[in-house]
Amino acid sequence: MVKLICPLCSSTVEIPDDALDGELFEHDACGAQVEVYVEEGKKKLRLAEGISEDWGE
Amino acid sequence: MNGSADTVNVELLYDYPRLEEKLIMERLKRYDMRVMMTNVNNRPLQLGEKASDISLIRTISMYKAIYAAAVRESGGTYTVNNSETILLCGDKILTLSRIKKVGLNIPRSVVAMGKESAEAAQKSFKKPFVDKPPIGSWGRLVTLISDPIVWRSILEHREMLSSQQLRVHILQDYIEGEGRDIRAIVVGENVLGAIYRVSTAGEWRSNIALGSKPAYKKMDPELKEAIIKAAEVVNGAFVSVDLLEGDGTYYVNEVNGVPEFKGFMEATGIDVADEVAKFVRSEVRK
Ligand SMILES: [Zn+2]
Repeated sequence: MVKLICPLCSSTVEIPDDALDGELFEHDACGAQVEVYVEEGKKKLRLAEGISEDWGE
Repeated sequence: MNGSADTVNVELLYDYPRLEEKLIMERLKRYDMRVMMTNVNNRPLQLGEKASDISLIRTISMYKAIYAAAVRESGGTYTVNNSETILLCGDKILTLSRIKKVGLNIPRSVVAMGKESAEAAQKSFKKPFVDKPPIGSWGRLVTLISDPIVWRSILEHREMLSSQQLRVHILQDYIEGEGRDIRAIVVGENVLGAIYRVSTAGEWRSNIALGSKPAYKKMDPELKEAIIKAAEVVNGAFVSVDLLEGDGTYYVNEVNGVPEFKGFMEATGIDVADEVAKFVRSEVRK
């Protein structure tokens, strides 16, 4: 697990080591939908954008 | 595709990786294929570039899927699914039109391009009926109309949406399928199987995303034929087909060009990602 900072509540979020760039997680503590992104080789979190009208299968 | 013994290079294009994408990635690697994960939200795609032997298109965004496939095809890469399939599946008016054309059963459907025509179309429906836009998924904006007041507010809400497509209506006969629909998955020319998606109490739509429970559905010849034909109509290599069952008939309702299969796996025990990986390997070797 990697410990990252939640962009909404600033507390710690644990993300699996094999999380992919773009992967979405819900932060149980605050309910935020967060997205993993990679900057300078490091995993970081940002708030995920909402569902778009063309999302689906 | 060349038949050399070299490593097979597979590109998996995605935006937000789900369990499905992770499973496909893992199975491809299990068969010794080299997997390149391309996040289309941060990697530019150059027209004419050949990035791999085969590109699997797995974005959640329908338009990004169509564009990613089209760009890869411009470089001569074989895509699963191809851009035309994803486009045909992504817009329900295009899907239903193609399906109707080849003589498969669909729920009686009327397209209305705006509020006025939707009001006129509604007169030909015995209540209740289903109203939905041509794009979108997971049951968004799909409404079962049995009340004129609800219908009026749906018409008004949809008029206010900025997207042209979301202002278009498909009105459909409501097929009372005992609160369940059928989802089948096709890989290549094989129908892997089918499941019922049983809606949860208080919810008439049967999308897994809305909490439906998947249950095994036994295949029969009539069902199988409808599934194969529906996949063929859109030229799908890896698609799911959604059907409704009523009055002893199967009605094709949707075909999905970037299918989710978590619920299907749970209900059938079929390793869909493994089937996809085997299919990819056999296609590259052709
Ligand atoms: Zn948080």
